[in-house]
Amino acid sequence: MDIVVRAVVLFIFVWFLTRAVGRRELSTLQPFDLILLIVLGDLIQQGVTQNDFSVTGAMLAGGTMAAMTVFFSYASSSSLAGSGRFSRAIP
Amino acid sequence: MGDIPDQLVLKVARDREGKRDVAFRRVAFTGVVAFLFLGLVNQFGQRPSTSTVDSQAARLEVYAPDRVRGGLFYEARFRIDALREVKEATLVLDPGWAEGITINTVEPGPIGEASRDGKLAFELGRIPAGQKHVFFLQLQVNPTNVGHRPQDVRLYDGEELLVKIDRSITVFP
Repeated sequence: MDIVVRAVVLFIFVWFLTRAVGRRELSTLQPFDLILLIVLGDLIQQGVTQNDFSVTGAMLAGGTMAAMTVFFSYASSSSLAGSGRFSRAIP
Repeated sequence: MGDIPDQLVLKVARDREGKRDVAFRRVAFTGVVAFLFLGLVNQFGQRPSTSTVDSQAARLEVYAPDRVRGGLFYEARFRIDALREVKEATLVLDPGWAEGITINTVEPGPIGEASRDGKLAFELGRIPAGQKHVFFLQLQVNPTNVGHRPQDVRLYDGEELLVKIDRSITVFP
């Protein structure tokens, strides 16, 4: 159970972090932006899976991240976006 | 608007006629969400559960997860309430408690440890009537350990069996 909750929390945190750092096109990334992306992935993994070395745990964490991506994409593109504020907030 | 390229068929490329990829994706995604839901409701561990058994002499409570995954740290707590004096309390655990599971800590340290018919026996000593004894095991699942094993717990007073809890553990790959 915990691993799904941790993945959701950290997905939202990473989303917030990328917004706070500033959204950039891949082609305009500075070298340090790339380093930040790679290091961030490594650091986040510790928090999501912790000491879990199992295939089931990896599937739960990966599935949660994928489901959150689909949910955020749907939310940003659907008519739920209304005034467009959500679309602007979510890449 | 320019002409449509010769090899482009609008009914297929635009209207997706005869294509099932969207339907397949929706079914697959529903499967993923269902899998995550099962994870949320503890089907794959590691939320602890409580098992309790009473007898005239003592009450035994075991608080430990019965579903875990490789690598996880977890705790098992055994609480013994003596309803009458238990002179030589001995907790006997099935080998499933240690099979492919590292026992990191045993607290408080038992007076003695032994094997009783292939099971792990922890001698806890005397528990006066009306008092309780709480015993902790700190465990970690070895990642290569997968399967389902019995983890029965028995409480003896010397050689006399007072209570027994039937339980098992499932280790997911």
